[in-house]
Amino acid sequence: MVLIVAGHSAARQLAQLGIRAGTTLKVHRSAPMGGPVLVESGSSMVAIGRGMARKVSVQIVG
Amino acid sequence: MKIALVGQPNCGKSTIFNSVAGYRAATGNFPGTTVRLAWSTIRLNGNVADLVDVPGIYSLTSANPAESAAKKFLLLEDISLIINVLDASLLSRSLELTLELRELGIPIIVCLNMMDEAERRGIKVSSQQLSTLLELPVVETIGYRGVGVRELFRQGIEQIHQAPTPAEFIRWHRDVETLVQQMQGVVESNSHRHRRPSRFLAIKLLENDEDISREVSPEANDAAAHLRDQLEQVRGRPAESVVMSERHDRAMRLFENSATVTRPRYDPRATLDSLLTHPFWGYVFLAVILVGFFWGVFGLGSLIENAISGKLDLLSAYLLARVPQSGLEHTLIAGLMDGVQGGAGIVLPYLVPFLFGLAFLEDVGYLPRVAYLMDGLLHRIGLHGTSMLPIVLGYGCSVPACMATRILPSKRDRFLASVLATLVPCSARSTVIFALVAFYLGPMWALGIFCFNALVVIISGWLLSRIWPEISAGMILEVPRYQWPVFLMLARKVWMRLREFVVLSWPLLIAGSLVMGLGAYWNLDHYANVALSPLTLVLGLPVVLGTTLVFGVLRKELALIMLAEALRTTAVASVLSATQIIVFTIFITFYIPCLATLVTLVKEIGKKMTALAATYTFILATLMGVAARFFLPLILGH
Repeated sequence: MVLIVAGHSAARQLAQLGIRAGTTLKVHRSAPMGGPVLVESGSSMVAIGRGMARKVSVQIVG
Repeated sequence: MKIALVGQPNCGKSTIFNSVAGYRAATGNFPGTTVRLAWSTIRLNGNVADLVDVPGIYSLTSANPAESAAKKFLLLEDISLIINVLDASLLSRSLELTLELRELGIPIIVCLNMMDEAERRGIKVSSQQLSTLLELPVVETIGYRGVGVRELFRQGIEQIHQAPTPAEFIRWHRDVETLVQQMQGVVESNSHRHRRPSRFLAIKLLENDEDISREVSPEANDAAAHLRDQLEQVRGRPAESVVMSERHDRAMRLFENSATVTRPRYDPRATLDSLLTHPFWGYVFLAVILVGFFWGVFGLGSLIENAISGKLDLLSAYLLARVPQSGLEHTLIAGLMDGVQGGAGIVLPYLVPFLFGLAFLEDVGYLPRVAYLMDGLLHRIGLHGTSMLPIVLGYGCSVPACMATRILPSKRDRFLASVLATLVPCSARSTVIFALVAFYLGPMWALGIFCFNALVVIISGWLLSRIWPEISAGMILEVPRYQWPVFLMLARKVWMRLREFVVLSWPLLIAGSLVMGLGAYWNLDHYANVALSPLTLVLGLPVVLGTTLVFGVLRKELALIMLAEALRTTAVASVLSATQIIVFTIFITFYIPCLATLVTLVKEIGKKMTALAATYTFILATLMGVAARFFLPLILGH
């Protein structure tokens, strides 16, 4: 993952859960109907709403 | 003397709290189970201390009301010891909070919880090494089994009066450290009288923390703004994020130097999770689990009800045969026995399996998955996905559900979620549905009512979010691992919730039943029924049911017992038509929340909003009742 373009508090919340610039994420699932994305970072699993997830730019590493 | 249990959400603070204090605090496998401080007085080697269970926080910057309550407590109270609970399987992340807590200048003991889980994930932590690097005592525990808890408190007591001193290993990079010290100088020269050390205030000011900046002088704030700019120039990103990554960096180093990571053991839970969150099968399983839950509760409940009711019937017939008919004694005994029977024979049989089932789902950790699955739909109707947690908790009891809305960041979302959570049938109302509709008309009808209710909740959500539009912030919710619940903990939890029924509602129920019996004896209920007759007439219900609806405001399950009392028979189906049973149930399910919930709502969302919510639910209940009255006969064919 490369960059987070989001509000201060959202970026902080993500960082606290281990999602921050430079970390590698694994996307497990994305729910249908524009539902959230289930992302694993390190050892924790986080559900991120689709709108929020759009603000997380990533680079695919295979 | 105050001892505070502090840690990140879902790390097991409340489990440790309960193992010391008895079951006092709610526990569950989802973040944000604890939304307010729980207190308990404990005895430690002859000392009396207040043990405080603090809501989970990721850091000392708050995002929602539950977190700010925790932060306020930590900043302002006189605390003798912090027990910092860490989830050992999420060590590096948890250590970031430890580093922040260290700055508070309060004695700390670190509790490495969930050691068994860490091992399963291939993480081997050396608590000794960690203790040396952090310069804090570290104790390993497995909270739900009570392993290490005694040792934790023994060492904790020794730690009191020993505030942490700066440790070499976790010192920050020099460029940042210099700025922190400059800020610290400014804070000290302004001689603020604050409970917490100047270094802590300095760091928080560099992080642009609103709570702290409100407390210091304008000069200190100006200096902070200047230093933040400087930091931003040196590091090329916002000061706040520089400070965060300093902590992150040290936490990582601590982790790398005290833990070894090997291959995790094969975890069947990952397979289970990929099934339960599957874009198609996930919803199928959700439906299967809910319907299975429903059948389980109904099946068990009616089995127990049949077994108990017959015996109690015999008992009351025996007692009634010994006093003269139509005397005052007869009325009293009949009222008393109806109350007893209502509790033991009708409410408890359904309540106990229901609470066990819900406790199981909570402790396993299924609820965050439900939130994940439903977020898409909820977003469509303008709600926050996390709202699903309080709404699902509403099936247990509306009171904790309304409190659980504190994990939502926006005021509007909290209002919507509280209203919707009170519309969901709580265990008391489910009991009414099971014991009336399922018992007399068959389980399919009861299932129909639950589905109908869900539909109304969704439509209400859509409607209310149109009236009060706001772009709901995206969901960020940690999804915890599954955990196999320990039976003893489930039983304690069920008991905690059941106790309220047994010690509060049941006596009330018996008293209410007596009052109702006496009222009928002296013909007083007549006036109440006449006053309420417009409502009962509109709903097409017998006028004698007027008073039962009033009792329903006190406690919803009271309406059920009073129903039998008012009709003077427990064979409800012989007096009421199928339509009337359903109309009664629908009205009871939707109308004004019970007294306890109203009180909670006033505390959570204010008087005005509560009045609004009560009016809305009353109108909704009447409309739904009338609609059912006229449409159901068409379906039922009579």
